[in-house]
Amino acid sequence: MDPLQRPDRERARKILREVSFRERLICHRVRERMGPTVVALYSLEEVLHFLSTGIPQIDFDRLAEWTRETLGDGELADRMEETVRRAGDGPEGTGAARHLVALRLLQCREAVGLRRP
Amino acid sequence: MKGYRGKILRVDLSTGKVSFIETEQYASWVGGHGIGSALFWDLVEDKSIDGFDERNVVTLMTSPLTGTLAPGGASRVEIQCIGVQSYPVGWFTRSNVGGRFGAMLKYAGWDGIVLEGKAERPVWIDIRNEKVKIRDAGTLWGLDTWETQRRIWKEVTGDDLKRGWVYLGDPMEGGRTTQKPAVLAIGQAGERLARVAAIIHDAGNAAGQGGIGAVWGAKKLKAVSVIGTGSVGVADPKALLEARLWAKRQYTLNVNEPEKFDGAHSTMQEIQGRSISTFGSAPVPVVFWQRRKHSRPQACVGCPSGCRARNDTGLGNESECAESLVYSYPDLRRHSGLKVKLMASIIDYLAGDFAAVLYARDAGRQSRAAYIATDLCQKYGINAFELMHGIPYLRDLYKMGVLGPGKAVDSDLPFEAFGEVEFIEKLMAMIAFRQGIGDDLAEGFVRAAERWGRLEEDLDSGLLPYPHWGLPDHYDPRVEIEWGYGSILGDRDINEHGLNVLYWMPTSAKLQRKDPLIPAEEAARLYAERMAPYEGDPLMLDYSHGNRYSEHMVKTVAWHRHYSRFWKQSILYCDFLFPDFLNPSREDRRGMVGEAEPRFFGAVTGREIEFVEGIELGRKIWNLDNAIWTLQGRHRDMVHFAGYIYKEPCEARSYMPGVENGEWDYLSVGKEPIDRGKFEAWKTKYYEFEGWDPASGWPRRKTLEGLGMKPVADALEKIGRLGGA
Repeated sequence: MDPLQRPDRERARKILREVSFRERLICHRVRERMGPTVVALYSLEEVLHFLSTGIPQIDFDRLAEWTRETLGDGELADRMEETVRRAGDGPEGTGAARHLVALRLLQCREAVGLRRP
Repeated sequence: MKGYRGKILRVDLSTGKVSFIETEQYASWVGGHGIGSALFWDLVEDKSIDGFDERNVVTLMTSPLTGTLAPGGASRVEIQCIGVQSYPVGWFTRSNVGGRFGAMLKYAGWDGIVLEGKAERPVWIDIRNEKVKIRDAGTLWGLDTWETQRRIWKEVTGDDLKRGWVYLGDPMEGGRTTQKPAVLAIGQAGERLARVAAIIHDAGNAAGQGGIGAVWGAKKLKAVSVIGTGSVGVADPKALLEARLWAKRQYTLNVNEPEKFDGAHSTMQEIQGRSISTFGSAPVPVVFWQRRKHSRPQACVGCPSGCRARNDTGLGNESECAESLVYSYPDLRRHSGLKVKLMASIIDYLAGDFAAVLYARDAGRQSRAAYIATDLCQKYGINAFELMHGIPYLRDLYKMGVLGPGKAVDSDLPFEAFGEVEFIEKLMAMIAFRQGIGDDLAEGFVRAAERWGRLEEDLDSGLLPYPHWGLPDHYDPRVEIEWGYGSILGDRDINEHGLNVLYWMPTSAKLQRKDPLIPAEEAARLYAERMAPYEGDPLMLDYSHGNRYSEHMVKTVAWHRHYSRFWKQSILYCDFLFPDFLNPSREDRRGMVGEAEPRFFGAVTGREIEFVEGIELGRKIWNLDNAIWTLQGRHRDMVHFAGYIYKEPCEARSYMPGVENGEWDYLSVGKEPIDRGKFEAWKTKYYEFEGWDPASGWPRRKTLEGLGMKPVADALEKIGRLGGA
């Protein structure tokens, strides 16, 4: 995985922010023994958690658009689109996207001084 | 009558009178729900009363199998009364509970309990074999369900348990037991008449649906305790044991052949076939939070499965399924990644890739908050299902700027601590004690939204995902159509997983790019051939959008309603084990449905009953229930889903068997909202099929008399609610 450009503090803050109700990202979670459940995501950190639990169902086009337009992170959006194009939108693509999101979150947390406890 | 104890306990809380009804009088209804509905019919003169009315009667019924070795059929108690949770009408409803209570009731000599009237002061009922006392609950009122049970255990057994035996009579005559009393109790929510109040037994058995905890609260009934030293007579013990061994050998996981459970049967969360069959799989707890590494399965009386767990932490014990989902995801959101912060300094020098992988892994870690939230549900006696969807709804309102300090919905709920113990402790206490907006939420989330002036808007948009009768979504009607139809035609979320494997199995497989266990056509055939009396019609399992409104789906829904009313809710086979259509432990994948149900029943009772006779009895019980709803005021015009079900598709990718272009496949379902007009036309077909008047949905005389229920037809005619010819 090619490293993402490290964001500066201001950009990192924007990427890490909790968005408003109107800006939220709607996804679905499926698990055995329960039906599909609507999940409203309000931050990139919530996206990571969503991608890490249950059988996450996310529209990657919508995720990329949300990342680009709402969080202002065009680079991450481009990389996710490229990754999902390559790996598909199944478990492999979901895993690859999860790692990209995780990497970006680490960079952002470091940039705003959250990385060290 | 083998399998029965012969008496149903009758307690009038208004007068303090304790009497009994001969079970024989109701033998034609066999057990459980059937007897409960019949008792309710006979004992409640005015069926249109409110659930909080003291004339409301609560029945708790066991089945002939309760307390025996019938696997998955030995523990449950069916509880019925006019409920207070559904909206806009509190329908005559049902819930049931597993654990030990049903068996202990039978061992004490009782087939069921009828609760009538209302006590002047808080009371609890103390049953020790045939001795029954209504006792003052002044010192128990105000306690949570767990502490209530502890106090009653101590009160009933004294120090006997420490010595190993509890004596209820002459020990030489079998008057002793090693068991502590089985107790059903309400918590603070029920005492305050919260419509979301549940009845709790032991740590995590809940009769949650219907708000029956609040009905007990209105009756000033804190708890019912039972301890018994008797046993249940079985007609043919050898046949029962042989049947149990047959089921074990033929249909369950052979632990000596784990290789039979290869990856094809496992999914992301559910290992060793658990997603497909509870009976034919390893005993893995059915929980939605992260399983503790150090825990062990825990089961109801007589069950070979063990779908709950007891954990090393002592938290979340015996809770499962929806109960484990109350706060699981908020907890994950909040606490995932914390560990990475600690690790970050160590891996500072590593490449971003490695750190990212660790971060992603850690994003799935959970704190204690989820388990504590569920335990609070059980202790206060609050319905977990309401909170499962209700908590995200509250957060959405907060994010909208509608809920918060000084907002339209004024509340100091600490959303800055969403996902922490602090938030959920505050919310639960608010509901249980009706503090602040907790007073609204105790009415249920739909009634709360109505109080806040948001109901129509939020049901139309789906922000409030409560699709039928003001009750929370379970399986979306747009996706699993028979689940939605069954719920809206009845009184509650059916919560019957009889055909639900046809959703899990292909959906979980396809989302993970695996092959489903068997092809769609084979699955449909496997089910259809056992759905007597409508067997041999695979189109009953065609979930394509084009078949949603067909006569085939009419038969599917009718079969499911009738099967469940008898075999599942009257004989009380556990929903997680029956019907066993598709069994991953067998090469031919054929489960034991149709064969097992009457076999265990016959061994216990000595009464031979065909599987299809049970379905017909289920039809009779379903018709009696519909007559009661009719007397409560139901009309077909009231039978409709919440607005969002008709407006938007369900965007989640879901797969079920169906026919497209003449070929069977697992099709993507839910992509179209339900068509209101076509659903109305389907209802007409369904009512005709059941012998109900399609103009009103009311039962017809001919139908009721054909089922031997002339007095029911007479009662409906008397108030002008008998269906026209």
